[in-house]
Amino acid sequence: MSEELIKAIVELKEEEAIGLAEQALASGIEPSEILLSCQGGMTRVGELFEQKKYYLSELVYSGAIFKKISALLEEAMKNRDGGLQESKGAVVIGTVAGDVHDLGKNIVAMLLSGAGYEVFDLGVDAPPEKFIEKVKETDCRVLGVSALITSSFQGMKKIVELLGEAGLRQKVKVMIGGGVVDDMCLRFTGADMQSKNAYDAVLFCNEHCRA
Amino acid sequence: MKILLAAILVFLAALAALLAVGLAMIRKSGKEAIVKLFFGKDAKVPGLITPSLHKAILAAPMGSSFRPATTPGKSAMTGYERIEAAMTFGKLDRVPVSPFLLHHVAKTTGLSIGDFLFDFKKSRIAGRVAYDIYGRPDMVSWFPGAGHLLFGGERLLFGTDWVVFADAPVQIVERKQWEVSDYDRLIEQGISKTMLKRPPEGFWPFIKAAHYIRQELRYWERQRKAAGWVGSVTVFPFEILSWKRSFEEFMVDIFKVPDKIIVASDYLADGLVALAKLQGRFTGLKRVFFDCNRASATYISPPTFEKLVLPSLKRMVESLVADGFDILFHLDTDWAPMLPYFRELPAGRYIVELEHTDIRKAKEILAGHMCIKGNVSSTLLALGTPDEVEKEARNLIDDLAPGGGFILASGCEVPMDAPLENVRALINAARKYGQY
Repeated sequence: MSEELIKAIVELKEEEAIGLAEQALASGIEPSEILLSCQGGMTRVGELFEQKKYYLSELVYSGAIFKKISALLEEAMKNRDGGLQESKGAVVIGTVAGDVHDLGKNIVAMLLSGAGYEVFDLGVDAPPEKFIEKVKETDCRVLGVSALITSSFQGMKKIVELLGEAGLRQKVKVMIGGGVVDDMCLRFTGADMQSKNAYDAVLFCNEHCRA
Repeated sequence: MKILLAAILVFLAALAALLAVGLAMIRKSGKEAIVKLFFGKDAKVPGLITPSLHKAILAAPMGSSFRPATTPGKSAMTGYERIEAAMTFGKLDRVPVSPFLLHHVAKTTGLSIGDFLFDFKKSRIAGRVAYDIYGRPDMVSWFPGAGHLLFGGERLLFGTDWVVFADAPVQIVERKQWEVSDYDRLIEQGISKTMLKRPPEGFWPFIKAAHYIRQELRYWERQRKAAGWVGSVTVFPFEILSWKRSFEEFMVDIFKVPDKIIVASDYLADGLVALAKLQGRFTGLKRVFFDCNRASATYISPPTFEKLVLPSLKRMVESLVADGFDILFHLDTDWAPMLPYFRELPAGRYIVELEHTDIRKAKEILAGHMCIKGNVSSTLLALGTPDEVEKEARNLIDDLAPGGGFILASGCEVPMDAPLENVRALINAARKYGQY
């Protein structure tokens, strides 16, 4: 792993980080190796966020830098066999029906992609049935549901119930996130984890998403 | 024939008088700032009205507030008096209470969200009935036209889109509308070319809404002796710019083009203040709602706030306070690390509505400076029992009532799915446990 590249990402030096990645590619370093350094940088940014030294704005900017470097690496992989990296697992996420807020969900999707997960985003205002279909299709281990209004709680609860009816409740862990979720909401919906903090989604998947 | 002619003349005179009063309000609120906001920094300001006429018109009753006189010496205070006393850290008979109720009123009275927001006559009747159903809070946060004042104004001026659901609150849809170069274009061309979008229903409902709001605020204050919530709405420039650029791109702009954000915020500040003042004069209540969300510690660091948000915020608040406006900050998400900066704002009459901020910490920081309002959680109101709501309200009263300057309320809006009994339990808790 390149300490220099990790440092540039952690310090949000966009041009320097992209330059270092380009140099590394030119000098023949494997794209998957460079990607590991970027993920190392993202993990440190996440830790700083957990320690309240970084805020959401820093988290989002580091994610944007990561996205740009990933695009470079994917371009370099075009003429080779195989993917850039083996996915750490599939995660389905979405905002429940009746709610069109997607800010928190998008940040979680970005962080999960950065951490090496394959994210299937159902967008906003998604009916509960759509979540179940996607879970079956992707064979994911973690499902994430986002909401900013309390009227979405019923939809979240319905999703957990439908998972049970489909016989998937044991296999699939459900995380709920957004400004209105708390322990009371967790009990009401029957989900496995709740948080207002986007980075907690990565930690939860690291724990439960072993493919 | 003569009668018809006289009627026409009287009608024209009335029209001219109304127009003159309107122009005087614009002038008093900041004519130049409004013109520059709409048409860019170099826009020429037309001479709308002569200074002498302006002076004469200002004496007209429409330009002044209709606040009723307080009545000292009575045993029980009115809701209006309690809110006034809470804002000024004065003596209170009990803790004032005012959950933020808006969409919930539609559900309680059986109106559809569409009728509640757009049929002003129906929502006026529903709102008056709801006041008694809820148990008469001290400050009333709903009135016909509130949708237009809160969401519509943003939609009209800044070109945001909204979605109206049958059984969920109105929501703003966010999508990228601006490139980085549009920061400069804003200053050259004003909001008329960079933001403004004609709403599908035209401008008339907005003018009608302001008229209904004025009538209804007068009703609450005069007939029911309750305080009106706000008569005017504005937004942090930082927030508007973030809507235009979209959240993720704007978070990157904070690091890559901070100077553009500073200059654009500075440009927007004067015009926004003038519009806020104009609304306040039109509705008759000089209390302005400041919509703030993206500038909180949930999103940005305190140094970013100090650099990108505080300068324009200070300018706006200083101008509004100097013109006699009360400031109502509606602070969703977590603001605790930013609150020390609020102490730098000029002495005035403030209400700070809190959602996820640690309200006890907020009291420590703002005591004696700003009245705080909050913050029974919306999740508890939606999922809890009346007993649980009462217990939480009592805890808040016990910790925050001493020393005054506290209004018991919900954290942000009471959700539509909150049982009515929970709202009543919250309002009743102030009477049961809030005696001073």
